[in-house]
Amino acid sequence: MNDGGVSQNLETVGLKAWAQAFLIRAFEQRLLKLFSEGKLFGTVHTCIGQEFTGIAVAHHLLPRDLIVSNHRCHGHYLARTGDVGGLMAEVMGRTTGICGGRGGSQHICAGGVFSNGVQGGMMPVAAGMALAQKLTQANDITVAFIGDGTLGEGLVYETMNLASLWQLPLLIVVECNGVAQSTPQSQTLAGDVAKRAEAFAIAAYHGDTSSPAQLTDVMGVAVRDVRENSRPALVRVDTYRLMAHSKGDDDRPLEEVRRYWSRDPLNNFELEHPDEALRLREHSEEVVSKAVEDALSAPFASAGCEQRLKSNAPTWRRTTFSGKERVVTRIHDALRENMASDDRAFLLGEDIEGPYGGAFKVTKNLSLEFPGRVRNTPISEATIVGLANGLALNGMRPVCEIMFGDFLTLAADQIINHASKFRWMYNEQVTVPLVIRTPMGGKRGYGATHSQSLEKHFLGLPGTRVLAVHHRYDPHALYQSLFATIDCPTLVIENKTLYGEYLQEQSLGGFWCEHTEEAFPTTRIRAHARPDITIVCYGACLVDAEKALDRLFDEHEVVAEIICPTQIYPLRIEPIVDSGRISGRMLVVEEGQLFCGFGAEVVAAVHEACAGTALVTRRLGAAAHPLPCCKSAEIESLPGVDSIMKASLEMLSDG
Amino acid sequence: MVDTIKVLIPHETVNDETVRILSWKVASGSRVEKDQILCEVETSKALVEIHAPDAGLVRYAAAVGDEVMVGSIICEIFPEMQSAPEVVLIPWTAASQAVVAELPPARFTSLAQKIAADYGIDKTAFPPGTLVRSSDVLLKAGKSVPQVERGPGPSSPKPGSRPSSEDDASSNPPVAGVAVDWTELPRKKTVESRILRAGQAATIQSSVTLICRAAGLRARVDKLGFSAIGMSALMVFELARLLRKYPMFNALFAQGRKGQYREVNIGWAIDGGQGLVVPVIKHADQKSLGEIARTMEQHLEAYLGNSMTPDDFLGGTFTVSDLSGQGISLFQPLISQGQSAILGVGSEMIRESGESLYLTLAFDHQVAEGRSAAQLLQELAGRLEVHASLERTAHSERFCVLCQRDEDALKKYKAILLTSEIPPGSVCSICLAGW
Repeated sequence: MNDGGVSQNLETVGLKAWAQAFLIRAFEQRLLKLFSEGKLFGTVHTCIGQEFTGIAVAHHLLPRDLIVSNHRCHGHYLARTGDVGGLMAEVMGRTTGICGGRGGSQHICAGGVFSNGVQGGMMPVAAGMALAQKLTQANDITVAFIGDGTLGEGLVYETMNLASLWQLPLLIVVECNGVAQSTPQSQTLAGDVAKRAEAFAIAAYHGDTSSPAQLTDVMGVAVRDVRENSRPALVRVDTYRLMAHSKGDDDRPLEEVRRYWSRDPLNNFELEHPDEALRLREHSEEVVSKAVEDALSAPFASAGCEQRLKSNAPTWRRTTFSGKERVVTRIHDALRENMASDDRAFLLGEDIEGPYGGAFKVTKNLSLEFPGRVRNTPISEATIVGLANGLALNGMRPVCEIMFGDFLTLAADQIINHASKFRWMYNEQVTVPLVIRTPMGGKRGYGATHSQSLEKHFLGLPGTRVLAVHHRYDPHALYQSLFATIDCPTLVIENKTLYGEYLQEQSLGGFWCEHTEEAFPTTRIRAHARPDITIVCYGACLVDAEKALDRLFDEHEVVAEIICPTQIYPLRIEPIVDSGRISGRMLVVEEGQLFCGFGAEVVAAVHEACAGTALVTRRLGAAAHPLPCCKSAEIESLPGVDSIMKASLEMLSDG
Repeated sequence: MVDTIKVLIPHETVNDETVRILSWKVASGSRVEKDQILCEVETSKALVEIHAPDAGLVRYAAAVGDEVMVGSIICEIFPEMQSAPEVVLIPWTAASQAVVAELPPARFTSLAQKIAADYGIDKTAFPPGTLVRSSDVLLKAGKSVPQVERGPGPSSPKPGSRPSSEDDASSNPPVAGVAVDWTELPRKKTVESRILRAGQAATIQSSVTLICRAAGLRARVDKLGFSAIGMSALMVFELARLLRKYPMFNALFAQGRKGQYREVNIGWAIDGGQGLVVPVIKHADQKSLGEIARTMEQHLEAYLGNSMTPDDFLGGTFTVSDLSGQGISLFQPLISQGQSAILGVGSEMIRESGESLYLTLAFDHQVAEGRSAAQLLQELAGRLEVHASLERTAHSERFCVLCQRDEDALKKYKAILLTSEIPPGSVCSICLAGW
């Protein structure tokens, strides 16, 4: 621990470091000025007073090391890259910025530095990047910067747990500035910071930004530890945030803030070496001013263009299968082939290793065949997906399994605020080829939290894809297409009851199966007759829809047509519209809740495309309450053959 | 049950083994008419158009850019639901015969099986791979098929439009005990019926008739060179200007309000034996007599040459129906959808006084009444009589290019002729100032 009077020695710290510190401070101070002039959007989180943390770490990093930071990332970025122009343009929202103006102050990606604005969210991502580095065996490391406030997020502990278990080369730097936004540490932190690391068998180090030389030494030791021993470490850095959390919200007492100004190394450097300080300050101002000038003359970022699906006429081919196998086997085989043909493939999830082979046996024996690349994780859904995010960002092809679709909610932030956003917000500099597999669905009596169909909550995230497996299109082919073309985070909805279904070519007399010719096709079950009604569904609902189709014809002389897409987001509406225009009646069936669900989207899109045509639509979904555990009551609460038939007949008899 | 019609690339028109689909002219799932162009395909020699063999709903089986074998199916047509279902025979080509070999036998519903058994119908008589319902079996057995009650579907009107009764089998039942032969009406007729039914339903029709002595009017018309279209051009010309003075006949009544059209577009009913059409002369109030006559001649040419386009019929706010050439004196014209009036013109030859015109103005009593109708007709008659009198008197050299009245006629109205540049010639002060 240092007291306030240590002399700031030019030689011990090095002029380069002081120059960096002055530059960072000049940059941050200019941002505050620009903000008060109305030239910045949103807000700025300045690191004034904390500059040396980033500088001390960057001093020891090698070219392939990575940095993951948070909302207060400017100092880390500038210390690592020195790119004042790019960062200024980015903060000012210009196309010349490091993310084309899309990311702004909190969401940056350049020069091996990544940041995002959700506290703790980047921790497992950093761990994933470290895992990818470990697998290359090149002794690179990843540094994750968090604050003492971040220690409130559970994800931090999940990550430390996993990083320690898997011995990941991850350096966690905790900038303890004693406050989280406006809340003092006394209200946010129980216990001791270092002891948290020790609880996970992670080595803990300590430094202070008011002694930059000592801090740099400590960082050196920590970085070497992580690099040479390939294991995680944590450095607690005591520091102080001299300005507000974000522009304009500082209620700390003035004497407290003033006291820390007196301990500030830059302030003291100025007192001891005024000429040098002046020179450094003037030089910094020049660089920053030039950056501002350049930025002001560059154009603003424009809104990105939406990805539009090609809307041409679908062509149909008959679906054929060879052999008679179950859905689960086909999925297993696809995963296995992918592991065999792609070294970057990596499977992670709970209980997926052999001999258990996964809760539904999808990954049976894969860990035995591909040791080290099929890994059991602790029960940490958010970290599973977060780790996969990091792996995907760092060149790997992760496939994670979330044991029950109901638990996807635990990973929601990693899907919604991280996976789906990286590519666009970082201006297309990265792709996230991430696959999340999970079984949804009920009718097994597992109860309210193990039987749901929650996929609708993950539909419609721009930059993602959602697939649904069914038994009339070979899941092996579906996964093969996915692995061959993957370019965005993809959620694959499997279904518990579907795992046991057999693939069959024809079991519907008089009707046959076709699919569109594309990577993730739409399946159509039809006959050589004009349909009286179109039934739209996906996934396991196809099983009941088929049975209804059969009985509707046999018992009621009604010819139905089923349209069943495998890609439910983004949704190709043409095959659905095509059928609806001919039949004039459309029933959309889903196992999830109706409000703002898949059916609602289909009906809206179809009516927009068919304006002027007579089309009657209706939706069928789960009863509007949690699913009961009693199996018979559960089945009653979900759509089935009887409810599909009843709804169809009602649509045919009245309106 | 009706089977679908498969549209093949015909052998006869192409000499290649494959052709490429260049473009689809209709959306998959939309309705097509018989002979309507479906798509263009590219052969080694030329572009070939493929037309619909029948009306119905089309569904693609191939996409733009596809290379397809000649003789293969490029799309299917689902015939419309008809009141008397019929079995459509599909020509079996070599290609389809090969496919037939793979297909399972026809599938029957439980009821169809029972009926087939009851009537001793051979199940192999139905093509393989098809669905057979009780109606199909009954048809084969020569029995009558009961009407299936179906709720709103593709045969229903568009949402938001007035529900029509044209599909309701219960309205207008035939006379009991008399055999009836049902035929489908051509589409043009059903469209026309819909327009008239809408007009009738929305208006409270009344009419006034005025007999106009118009001896010499025909000769005048001939003199002007408009004989092909008779007096209708004159009618349209004068009416267009009168509708500015009596705007309630260029309006409509809807939801308790009167809607005043800002344009005067006069529809002119033609039936030369090829069906009744009503092309529209747009902005008739701003066109000169010559321009109106020319437009009407063009419409007539297009009608006779069968080259009218949908644009010709859009936007009419008033209609004129002239049956005087057919020897009809008095008839009841029907107001069209969206309009509030129609003028019917008939004629009668009376030995002493020459020709008389019977002008019948049918109008919607919700936006007008008999008095204004009478006034309009009187003014119209007056103007026609002026035109007629022009033939009987000597004319002077100069006349108004817009209304053709010469100086003598204008004197009666205390109006004068003025030299004009646009339009070139002379314009009378009446046309300049308007009524």
